[in-house]
Amino acid sequence: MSDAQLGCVPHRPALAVLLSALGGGLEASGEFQEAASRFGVPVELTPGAVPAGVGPWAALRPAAGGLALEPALPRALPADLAGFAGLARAVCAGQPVEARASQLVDGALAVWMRPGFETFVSLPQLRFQPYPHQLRAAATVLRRMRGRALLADEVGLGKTIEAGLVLSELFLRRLAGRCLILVPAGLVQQWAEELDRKFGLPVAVQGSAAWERAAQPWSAPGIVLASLAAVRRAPNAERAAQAEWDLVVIDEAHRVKNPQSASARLVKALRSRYLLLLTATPVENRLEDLFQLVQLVRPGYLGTPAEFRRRHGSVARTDVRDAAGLQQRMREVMVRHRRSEVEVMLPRRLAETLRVTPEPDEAALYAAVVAEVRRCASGASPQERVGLRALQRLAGSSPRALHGALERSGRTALARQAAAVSDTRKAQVLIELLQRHVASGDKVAVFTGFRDTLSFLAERVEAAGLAAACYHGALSRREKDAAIASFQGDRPILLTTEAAGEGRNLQFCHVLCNFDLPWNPMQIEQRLGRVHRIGQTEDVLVSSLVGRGTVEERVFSVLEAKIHLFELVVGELDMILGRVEDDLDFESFIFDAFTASADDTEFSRRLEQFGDQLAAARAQYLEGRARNDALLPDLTS
Amino acid sequence: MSTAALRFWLDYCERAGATFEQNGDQALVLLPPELQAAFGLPEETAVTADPDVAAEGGALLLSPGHPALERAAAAVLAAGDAGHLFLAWPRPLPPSATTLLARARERLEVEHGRIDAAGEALAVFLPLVRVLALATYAADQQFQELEEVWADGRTGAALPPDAVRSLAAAAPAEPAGRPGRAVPVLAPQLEAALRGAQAALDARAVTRGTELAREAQGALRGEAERAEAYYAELLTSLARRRESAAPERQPLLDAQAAATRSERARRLAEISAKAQVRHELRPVRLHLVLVPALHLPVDIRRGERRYAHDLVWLLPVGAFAPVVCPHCGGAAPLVAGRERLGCRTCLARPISPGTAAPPHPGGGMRSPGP
Repeated sequence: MSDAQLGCVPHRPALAVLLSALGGGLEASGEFQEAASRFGVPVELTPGAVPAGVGPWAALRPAAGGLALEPALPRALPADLAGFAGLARAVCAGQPVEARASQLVDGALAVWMRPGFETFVSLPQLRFQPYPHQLRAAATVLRRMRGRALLADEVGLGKTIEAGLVLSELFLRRLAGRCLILVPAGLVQQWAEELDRKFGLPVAVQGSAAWERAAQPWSAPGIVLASLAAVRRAPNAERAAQAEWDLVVIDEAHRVKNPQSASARLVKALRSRYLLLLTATPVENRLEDLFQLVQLVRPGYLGTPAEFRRRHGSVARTDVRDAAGLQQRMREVMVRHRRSEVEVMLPRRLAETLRVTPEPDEAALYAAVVAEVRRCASGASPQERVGLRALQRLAGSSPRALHGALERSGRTALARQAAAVSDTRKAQVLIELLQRHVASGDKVAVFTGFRDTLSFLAERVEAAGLAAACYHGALSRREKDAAIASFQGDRPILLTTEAAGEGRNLQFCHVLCNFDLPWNPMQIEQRLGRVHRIGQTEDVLVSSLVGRGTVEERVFSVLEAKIHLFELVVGELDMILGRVEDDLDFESFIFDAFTASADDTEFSRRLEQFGDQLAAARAQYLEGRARNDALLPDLTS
Repeated sequence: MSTAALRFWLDYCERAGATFEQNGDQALVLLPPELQAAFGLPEETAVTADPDVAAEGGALLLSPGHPALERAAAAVLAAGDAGHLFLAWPRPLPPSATTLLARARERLEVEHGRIDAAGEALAVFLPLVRVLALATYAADQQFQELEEVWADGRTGAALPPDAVRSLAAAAPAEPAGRPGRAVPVLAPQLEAALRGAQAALDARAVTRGTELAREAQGALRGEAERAEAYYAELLTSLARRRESAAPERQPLLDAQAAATRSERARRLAEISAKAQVRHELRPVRLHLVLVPALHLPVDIRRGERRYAHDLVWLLPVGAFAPVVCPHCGGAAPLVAGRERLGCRTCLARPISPGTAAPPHPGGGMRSPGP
């Protein structure tokens, strides 16, 4: 074949060539002519000529908006090519490539592949150093899950911190100007403090004095913090649902898993661009619990309820159908860390309970107060009952604390009796304990619920020749800082009220002493949390002083026996109490049981029954934890 | 956010019927009702990519993660970029037939076979599919990368990187202006082409996934060590507590230890599973690119036997389109067998007329020569 022959198209019969004329509009064919002519023989193609033979050829014909191939491309693609369906349709329709559409896709890819949040703009504003797993979780929620996620870390790993990071990042970037945080009533204060102290974020607490003063609190910009129980009631529910939110955070979100419940209906009615559901146990009894939560975060993501049941069954057991598929899908909507995988190793809690037999004068005083409280409680107004409850709690702390309250309430005889008790056996045991620890170089934080008891202990400690720093709510911020600094420095003892139970980190100390015990175990947990927390490197010793025959002794015995209070990991107590009753007011329950009981035997029986409820809740929690652990993968990011 | 992202958003809005006016660091956009509803924005919206401008002037900051930006990107990617495109005829003269044949003999390996011309070269358009896919790699971390494949539109054989570079740089044909004449186009087989492209994309994603898994190995080892240490400590602590526990508590502690051991096994299995990188491909671009080419019918001869085959010379690339086995479509070197032409694997199989696959484009049996 010579060069001159090249390009000559005599349409060999062996080739099947369809040379179809174009109706116009194709520059390429002109160019083809031109180029062909440049290298030898001009091409003359006969429209419609269809030689028979080997090799499929196609024709181009004008079509609406472009050119179509003839024979047409198949419009239906097999299932394994379904990802191409939309694109292939456009090609088959003869649509030409449009440069601007291509540029737009390039732009969209740039946006999609760089969802932002490469760095946390909020980091410099934080007043603490988040753990790597917390930052990873927040980044995953922001980048991969685009702000709608289930945060399901095991208890104690910092779901609140992770949610706070997401919140502050969205808030500071002005992506979320109106945020609503719904939490159990007992955690409102804790959330408010965390957001203020750790993230420096201003929060409007629903129902607070400032809230009540605001003209339109539900529609004002900012962060609203409220208890789920309060907001689900009319008219709050309606107002919250009418408002446009940018971000909604639901803590302890397992409480909204039942779609028929008022809480779930409320959450479903809230309109929000971003949504965070926080729970350590997204699956409780039924696999559908998980479905319901995901349905809130990403409606339709797991299909319809019937499809979900068909695919995975309904029982949350380890033999869930297609568990791997479910786990894989969950990775797109859920972040879950386990204690074993993060760089957070909490040391052990070692607890000792020192049961102290009171001196006769102390015991007599306590018995007189018990009788007085029981006598006055029946028929007392709610306000009076609050006063009586305080009196009973003071009786468990110290005669000094009791004295002032008795005087103020006009119980002068009892007040005189209290004033006559100048020392207590518990104080003596405390001093011995402090001397032992100080001698071995330990730092000890001593907690009491009452200022007067604090003063009393300060005197006794000083008289024993021990150096202590005192910390209470009436100190100025500077004085508080100085007290903590001196405890961290040369003073081995910190005497403190609950004020230090909130927000102060005392990880440098690893001995904690409960001089008196709150009735509410959550308060005990908060005290413990100041010391036994991330950053603590040594085992923590908790010594609790309990007067024999007191309400505290009975409550404490139940907590120890039924839920092994000090063996719980941070956050687990919440999970247990939440299962006994939503927003359980533990202290009121104890006081009601106490005053409703004719004597201590009956009170003990009532507490025992309550203890059984707690034990059942603990078992339920542990079962749920195991179920979640087996079913849900760890999803670090 | 970069101004490029803002530019994208404005372009998207403009295409969807919005108008905008740039004013310094911000733009005032007038959105049609559909976009107002889609973005939840008012008709008149000032937007900016500069946080300071947003803070001072009250313009909407379109920063990463803003739903308006994400919705626009999602909508554009859902629609994708598809259509056909002609490449312009290259200016340089094409190779002569002699040169073409010489190159075929030099570059294409056919075992036991000799390539002979069987007809004149014909100027044609060869259809190629150009597929761009968003590849999402997920394991411990998630990455998104782009993968692109150009494949022969008839066979699905992927083109090598050099060829892809030349094709990507080639100019498209000028837009329509004057009536054209006639164009022969080698018929595309879309299903085969897409299947080939998908296989090539998958192969690349698997390779990339392996690289990513290798990079993650160190971190996973650390994680496994931490988990081991954690459970070891837990079990030691349980054993210690059991020693001093009252007899009635011992079964409880035994049960806890058993649960801890089974949890440890699960955890370690999960950690090792993290090394397996999963990938997901989402095609976002499909172009049927019609490339100027020369079609050369050839005979592949083994002694007296002749096997018909077609070669296609890609003019913008200066190379042949990938040659595939006429039976399986694979890219393996061809062998001129005693009974047929094909790849080594296909020739090893006995001929079974009932089960024979239809011949792939570019190859077939020619009537025996003299």
